Amino acid sequence: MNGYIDSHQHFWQLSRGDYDWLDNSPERIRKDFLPDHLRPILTDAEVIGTVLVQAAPTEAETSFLLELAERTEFVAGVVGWMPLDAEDAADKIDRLAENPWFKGVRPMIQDIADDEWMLKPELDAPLKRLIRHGLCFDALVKPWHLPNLLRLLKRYPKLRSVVNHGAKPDIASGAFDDWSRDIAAIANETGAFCKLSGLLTEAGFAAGISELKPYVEHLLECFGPERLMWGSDWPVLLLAGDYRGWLSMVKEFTSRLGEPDKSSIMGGNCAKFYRLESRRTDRRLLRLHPQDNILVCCQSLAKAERISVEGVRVELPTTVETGHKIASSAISKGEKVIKYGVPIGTARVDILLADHVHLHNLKSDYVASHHRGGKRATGTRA
Amino acid sequence: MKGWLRKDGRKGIRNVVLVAYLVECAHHVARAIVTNADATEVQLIGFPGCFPNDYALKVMASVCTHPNVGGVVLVSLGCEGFDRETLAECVRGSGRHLETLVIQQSGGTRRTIDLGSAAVAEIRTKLSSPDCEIDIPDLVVGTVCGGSDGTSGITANPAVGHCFDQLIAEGATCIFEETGELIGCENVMMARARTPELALEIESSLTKAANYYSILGFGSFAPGNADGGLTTQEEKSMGAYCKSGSSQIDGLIKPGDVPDKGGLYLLDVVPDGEPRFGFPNISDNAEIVELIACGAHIILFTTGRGSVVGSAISPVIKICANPETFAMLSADMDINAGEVLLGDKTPQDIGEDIHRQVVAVARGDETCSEALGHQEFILTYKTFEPIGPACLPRR
Repeated sequence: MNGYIDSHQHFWQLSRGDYDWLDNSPERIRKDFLPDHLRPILTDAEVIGTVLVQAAPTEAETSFLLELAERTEFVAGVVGWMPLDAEDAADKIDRLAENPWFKGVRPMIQDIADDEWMLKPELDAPLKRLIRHGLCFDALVKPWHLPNLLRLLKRYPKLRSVVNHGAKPDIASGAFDDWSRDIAAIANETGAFCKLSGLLTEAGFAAGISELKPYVEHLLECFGPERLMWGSDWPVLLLAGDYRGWLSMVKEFTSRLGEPDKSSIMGGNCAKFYRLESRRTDRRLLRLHPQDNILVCCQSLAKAERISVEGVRVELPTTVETGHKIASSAISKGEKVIKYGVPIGTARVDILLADHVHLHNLKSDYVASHHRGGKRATGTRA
Repeated sequence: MKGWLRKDGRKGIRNVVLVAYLVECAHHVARAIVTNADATEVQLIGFPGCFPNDYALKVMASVCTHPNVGGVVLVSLGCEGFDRETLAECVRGSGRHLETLVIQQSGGTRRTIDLGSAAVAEIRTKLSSPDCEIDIPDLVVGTVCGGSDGTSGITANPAVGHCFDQLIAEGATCIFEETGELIGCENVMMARARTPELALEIESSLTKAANYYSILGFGSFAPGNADGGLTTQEEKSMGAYCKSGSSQIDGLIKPGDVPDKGGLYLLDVVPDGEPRFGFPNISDNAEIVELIACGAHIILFTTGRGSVVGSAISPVIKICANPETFAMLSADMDINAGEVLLGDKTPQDIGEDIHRQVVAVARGDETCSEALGHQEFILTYKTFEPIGPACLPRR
C-alpha cells in the first residue's frame, strides 16, 4: 500500500446548526472544518484516503457528509447517523445502502442516557439490515458500556463492528483495570475491530507516549495487528495535539511490528473493514473483466453526473445510456478497446477517462471472413 | 445426487417416457397417447417430415437414447420415409423399454391410441427408481440464448460463463453453440482451442456460418444493436460468446455427437453444404434439441426479452438478463441476472447462483418451465458431414 488511510475524521460547518455538543467545546474546534482544511494536512502526512464519520445526530448531517464525499477526492467512505431505533429504520438503511459512499452507521451511544439502549428490541431489524447490506456499525462507547456492547455483539456475530477510540479509557485519571478487562473480552469473544484513535484526547493536553503506552499496548495485544486501525479523530484531535504529532506517536507505538502488520494498521484493515476497495468504482458501472479499459453503464447516467472510476472522481462529459460504455482509463488513438478481456476494436481518436466509447471513437477490426479471400466457405473439413 | 445408470455408462437425472411420432401424420395419435397418460414424465417428441433425412434420424436416435430417457414408444404411420427399424434397433440396443406402433398395421387412430396408452402404462410400471450416485463430472450442461437484448451480454451471459468455468473445473462437460452469433470472435476462440488443428476447424465453422447467414440475407450487426450500446461486430459476438467462459475449448461437435467426458465443446449447428433447408435453426428449441442430442442433461437458457420455453427430456434453467423482464415474468425465470444492473451482485455472484441451481435441478428440483409444463420439441431437416479427426483431439 502506498500511503495511509485515516479510519476516522470529521467535518463540520457550524452554520448547519446541529452540532449541540460543540457549543460547550473549546474555541479551538468551535469553527468550520471542511475538506479544504484537511487536504494539505493529508498531503503532508502521506494520507491518501479517509473515512468521514458523523458528528451530529441528524439525518441532515449524514446527507451533508455524503455530498461532501461525492465531491471530495480523498474521502473513501462515510459513517453516518440515522435513527436506529425508529420504526422505519430498516427502510432508511435500505435507502442509505444505495449510496456507494455510505459504509456504516454510528449511533452516539456515549451521549444516550440509557446504557442499555443498544440492547433494545427495536434495534433488531435495523441491525439485521446492516448485516444484510454488509454495512458497518461504529460503536461510540465509554468503558462502562463495554459489558452491554459485548452482549450486543455476541447476539449479532455477523455484524461488522468497530469500537471507536478504544472505548475512550479515562487515561487522564489513570483508570485501567476495568477497561482493560472489558475491552479484552470484546476482542477475545467477538470479531470486532478497534480504532486506534481518540486516545490523546482522553489523556489530556500534556500527555505523551509514556501516558498512552500501556493503553495502546493493551489494544495491540488484544486486537492484534489484524483488527486495529489507525484514525486521527481530526479535528477533535486538535484539543490535545495535531495530525502529524498523533501520526508519529502511532508510528512509534507500532515501530516494533513488521511491515505487513504496520501496513494493516495504517490502512489495510480500514480498507478491508469498510470494504473501501470494492466500491471505489461506482456500482452504477460494471467492469466485466479485470483487463478491460471500458466500463458498462448499469443505468443511464446524465451529463455532468459525478462518477467514481477506481477512486478517481470525474464528471461525465456526456449522457450515457444503459448498456453503453465509458473509458475506464485514457485510450490513445490506435490502441485496442478491451471488453470481456479481449479487443473489440481500435480507438479512432484519443479517448479520455469517462468518455463515451461508441461508433464515433471506436472502429471494428473485423474483416468478414468471406471477404478475406481464398477460403472455401462450405464444409468444416479444411 | 441420485440418478439412473444406463447401459452405455451415462447417468440420467430424469427418467422420462418418450412418445415419438415419426411423421406429422402420426402426430395426433402420439399426442393423444401422451394426453391419456397425463403425467409429466410422459413426453411428446417427433419429426414431421415424410422424406428421409440422416440428420433427423441421428438426432432422434440420440434423444431417444438420452440418459434422461427410460422408455420409448415409437408411433409410425407406416409409409413415411423415416427409418423406423434402425431407430427401434438403436433404442432396443440401448437397453431401454420400447414399443413400436404402426398405425396402418394397428387398426387406425383409435386402436393405436389404445395400444399406445397401454404400452406407456406398461413401460411406466417397469421404470426403475434412481439406482446410482451422480456427481458433477457425470453432467453435460448446454447453453443457449434467446430473446436477447442489450442486457444479455453484460449480465446473464457472463454469469453463465463463470458457471461454465466452475463446472468444467469440477469435471463436468459443457457445450455452447450459435456459431452464427460468434462471428468476429474467431481469433479469441482459436486461441482457446486445445490444438492448432482444432483451431482451424473452429475457424472453418465460423467461416461457414458467416457465409450461410450472408446468403440468407442476414448480417449479424443491426442498427438496433448500436442503440443498445454495442459498437462493433466483435463486441456483439463477445456478448454471446462469453457464455462459454474462459476454459480451454476441447472439441468441435455437431448435433448428435456426444462429447468426450469433461471439458468445453463448441456445437456447430450450421448445416454443411449450400443452404438447402432454410434457416439453420428456426427457433430456440431447435438448438435446445440439438444440445440434448449431444447428451445435455440441463440447458442454461439466457434471455433478455423473456422467453418462457422449456423442453422435453432435459430441464431448462432460465436466466433472465433484464431486471424489468424479470419483474414481468418472474414465475418463468429461475435466475434473476438483472441484479447485476442494480449493483447488488456481480456476474460471478450470479454464476454461483446458477451453479447452485444446476446442482439442485440435477438432484431433482423442478425448474420453472418444468413446473409450468413446458415440454417443447422441434426437429426439422438439415445436412451435416461427419466431424473431422481434428475436432476431438482427445479421442
